[in-house]
Amino acid sequence: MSGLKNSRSRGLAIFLLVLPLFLFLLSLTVGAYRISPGGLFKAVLSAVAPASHPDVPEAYRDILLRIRLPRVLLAMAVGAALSVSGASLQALFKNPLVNEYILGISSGAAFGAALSLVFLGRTLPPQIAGFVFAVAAVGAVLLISGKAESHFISLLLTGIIVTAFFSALLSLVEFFASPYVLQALFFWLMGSLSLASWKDLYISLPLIAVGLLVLYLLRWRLNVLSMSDEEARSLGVNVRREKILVIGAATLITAAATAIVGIIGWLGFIVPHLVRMMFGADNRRVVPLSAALGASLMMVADDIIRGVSSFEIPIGIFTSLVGIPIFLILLKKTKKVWL
Amino acid sequence: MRTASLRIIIIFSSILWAAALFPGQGQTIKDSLGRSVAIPPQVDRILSLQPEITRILAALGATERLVGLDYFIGREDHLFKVLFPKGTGLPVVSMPDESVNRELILRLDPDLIFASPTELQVPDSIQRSLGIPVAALASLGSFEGLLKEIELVGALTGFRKRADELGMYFREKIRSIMEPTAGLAVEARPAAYLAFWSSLVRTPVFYEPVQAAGGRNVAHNLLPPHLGTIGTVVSVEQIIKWNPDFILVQGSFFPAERLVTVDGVLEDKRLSSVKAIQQKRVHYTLGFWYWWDPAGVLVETMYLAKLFHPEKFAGLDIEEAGNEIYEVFYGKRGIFTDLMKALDFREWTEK
Repeated sequence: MSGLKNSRSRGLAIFLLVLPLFLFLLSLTVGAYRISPGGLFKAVLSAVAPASHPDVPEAYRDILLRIRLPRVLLAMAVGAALSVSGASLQALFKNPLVNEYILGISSGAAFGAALSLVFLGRTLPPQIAGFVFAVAAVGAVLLISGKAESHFISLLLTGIIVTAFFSALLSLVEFFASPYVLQALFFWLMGSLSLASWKDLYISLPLIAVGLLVLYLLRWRLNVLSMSDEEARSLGVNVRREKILVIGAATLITAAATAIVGIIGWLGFIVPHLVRMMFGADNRRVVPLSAALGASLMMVADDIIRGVSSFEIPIGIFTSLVGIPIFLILLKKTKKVWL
Repeated sequence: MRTASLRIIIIFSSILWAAALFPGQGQTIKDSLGRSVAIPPQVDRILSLQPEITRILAALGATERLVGLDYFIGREDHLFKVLFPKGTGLPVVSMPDESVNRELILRLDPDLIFASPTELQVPDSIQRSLGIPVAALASLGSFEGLLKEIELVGALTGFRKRADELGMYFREKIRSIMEPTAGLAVEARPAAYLAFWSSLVRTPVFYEPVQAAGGRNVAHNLLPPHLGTIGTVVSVEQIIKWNPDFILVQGSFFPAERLVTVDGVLEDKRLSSVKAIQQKRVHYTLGFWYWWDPAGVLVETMYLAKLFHPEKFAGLDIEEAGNEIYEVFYGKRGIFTDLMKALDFREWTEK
């Protein structure tokens, strides 16, 4: 992490960047089914060469390769996606109160999932419908705000209006829904990783990877976009194009994450703030460190959910319940939010 | 086996029953939310927003007193339309989003409203704003709760004798199902995992038909009973850890509405190491059907008993028993067979 003033900050940044790797390995050992690290290692070997360890129970392989691995990878991807999306939009809008759902993504995704569950049956899965309508919601915001898209207030107001519109549509679908389908919809809205599978990863991971890469490459331009438009233009930046690019990439990763796991509250709001409290507001650091911290927090939250009890609290509820007090404690300690 | 939760329900239900005083007089009952509800001396016009109570009213022969229904029983319940065809013409007062049309309630002018205890704020809110007594009642997955409910509704509506007959019939049937497996040790009872509420990972922590049928619900009492909830969410990994002998999928939906299916569970590769999958013991069961159908839960318990212990219930013909039970409760022959066809429950009627 070049540019960090002291070795302590640099050390902390390096620690945060390698933390996801450590937590990834640790998370593979956590779960309702107790398997020793040695047992997990044998399960990996037996999956590669079945004849090498014929005594490994089938359940070990299923748990490691079909349940824990996709779930931990999904937790990582979703945590990184929502945090980077929140960080990018906060920088772009020059507003610390912005979160990753500000442009109507959550209400669009929820409406899409509801539409799929209630009316479309199995023809269009809720994950895909959620993604399509999340993107449609942001598309509507950009279309309605038109040339005013460079004015943040216009964009935010349009975002609020589109959110309200899709929320009303969601209520309308709920009004006509079969009670059985409503049960599934409410469960989806709570946000959960409990049914994570490789299929979910095949759908979401490429989109999240592309979006994260774009935002990572644009991270220094976010610093320029955080200035006034005039200043940014004087530095040779095509403000309109860059903003659309950032909004597009943030939408892509948030929609991909939300469509798969439902609405995960507060992560994209809190993580960038925590990173800024620790390392300052330079987006060259905020973007990658938000990705690392978001992925880590999501894995830790999911580990607690999976490891503490036999039942599961939906992670969307858990992140809100735990994230907000942590944020308030840090806020009180540092007495600053935005630099 | 009497569990803490069952004891709480029984004690609570006894209070509820004991509080129903003498017919013909105004009385005060404690409902499932612990609220005191003053019931008028004469209950001629009933608005039922609770499908379980509506079915009990049908079994008691009190459907003519219904003046309005909830969305589910009025529009979605495939059986109620057969039991009480006139019900399709009754006004629907509550919708799936839990909204209630209060102006319509006033127009219907009911003496008493039955509501579900899951929508905590609704009973008090309606009672306060409209001045009509609202009793929130449910069996909460317990046979004793259901029996006390039948007794109470019978007492409140003046159908006490019919309620007693149904109660005795229900108890006798349950006793006959439980008897062959009553002495079984816990480890001799097949372990069953229940995938309810349109999700593989949502399961009831209390479901008496499984125990009564000589089985063991693997999620039994996973949450402390004092929380009052009957369902929770578990991980797929936890299901593998439990390694159930049976997986029972809630099947009280029309086939096209099922989001979790027997075939889907059997094909789920994550569960391939589970005994139930390997031995293809994944089956539909009725489950909660916006609470219970008293006749349905009785047949369901019989079906589960035959599923868990085929050698002990070899002579039991589920279709025949089902049609008899439905006739006793609802006075119509053959409706169980129709129900099985509508739900595509071929296994239930296989000879």
